[in-house]
Amino acid sequence: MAQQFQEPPLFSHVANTCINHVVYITIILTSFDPSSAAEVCRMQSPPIERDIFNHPSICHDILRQLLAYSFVPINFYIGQDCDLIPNLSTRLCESVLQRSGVHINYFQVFITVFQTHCCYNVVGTPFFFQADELPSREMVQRMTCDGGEHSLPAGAMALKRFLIQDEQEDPCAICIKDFNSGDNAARLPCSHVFHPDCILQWFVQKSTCPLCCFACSCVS
Amino acid sequence: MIDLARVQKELVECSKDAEGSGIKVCPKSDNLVLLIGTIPGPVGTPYEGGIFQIDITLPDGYPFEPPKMKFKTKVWHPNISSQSGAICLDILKDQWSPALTLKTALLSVQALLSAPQPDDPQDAVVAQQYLKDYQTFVNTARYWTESFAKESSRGIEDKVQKLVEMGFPEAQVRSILEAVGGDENLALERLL
Repeated sequence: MAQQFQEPPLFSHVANTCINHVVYITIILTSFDPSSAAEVCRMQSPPIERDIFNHPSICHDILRQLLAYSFVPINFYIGQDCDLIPNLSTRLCESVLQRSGVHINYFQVFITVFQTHCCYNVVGTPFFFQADELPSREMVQRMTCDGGEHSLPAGAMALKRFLIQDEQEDPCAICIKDFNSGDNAARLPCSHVFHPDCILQWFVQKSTCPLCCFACSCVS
Repeated sequence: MIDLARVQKELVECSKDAEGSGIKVCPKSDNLVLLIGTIPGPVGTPYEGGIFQIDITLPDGYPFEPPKMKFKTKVWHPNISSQSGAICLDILKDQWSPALTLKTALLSVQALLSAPQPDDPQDAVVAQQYLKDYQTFVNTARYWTESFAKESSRGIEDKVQKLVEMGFPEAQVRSILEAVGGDENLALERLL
């Protein structure tokens, strides 16, 4: 069960990596049970946890471990892809335990977008999830839609990711490079096809199809 | 960082159709950030017969940001500043799309010459004249075309002639003059 708290967590950390992909990851906040008032107070000064998660290399390692355990190549994910990562949170907690000896019981969910220019958007949730749970697809979608200043481009939810089967697709209209068999591609509701990296970079400005101006705003 | 591979492809595409459309794009610098576009004045307009040069600068965010375009050739048009050459055109501003190219942008500028939009002017004086004294507008636009757009063309022929008389091959002279936007001194530097 998700539990909501009025105050946001004191700290959160995102891997500071320049990757041209959207990555769905989770970040650990505390090893204490937030349902207890006393434990919530202790969250204010968890020196060990703070030191651990303030260290940049830990975040990098966590991200790498996460992706390695998930057996999913670094690529672009949006809400529905979380089904591809079973037992995500359990694996994450196990990797942290192995690395630092800290038992993780609760975590918060973020969606992170890494873009070409090394900037990133983060969508956070005020909810804590138990270590063996994943947020629902609806939760992820709502996080994405409600992100505000830091959020996935609204049109990202409209993309359908697929691999090019043949080579008859027109080239990507943004980078004017041909699609080869096996390339990652993203199809908009209007059926136009682009490279995921190309269309997401455009969606940061405007969530419309570059070719036909179809509005790909998020349907929530 | 500009997508240089895409710009290269655009230049190739433009040169393929240059004869048919009359629209050309040439690099002005080695880094492909500065370019010169050339468009013919549309038939049936006061700009007919003119050759108009447009300065093009590609921002770092290209193609996710529109290219910056400005008329280098003086032109009398409600949506183009008669002083600075600034162009009021939606696809060069908020209506830009990364699927548009330098060629399609230049085609849109050419279309703007055919269909002025005086209600959304860049040059208030010209727009005023267009609305209140259309015939004078047409006469002035034609005069400016004769004076600047065609003189520019004749000027290029004169420069070609000069450089050919200095002993350089005509074909090479023409391509280099085109590449440097008609600057005779710059062309001479490259020929030597």
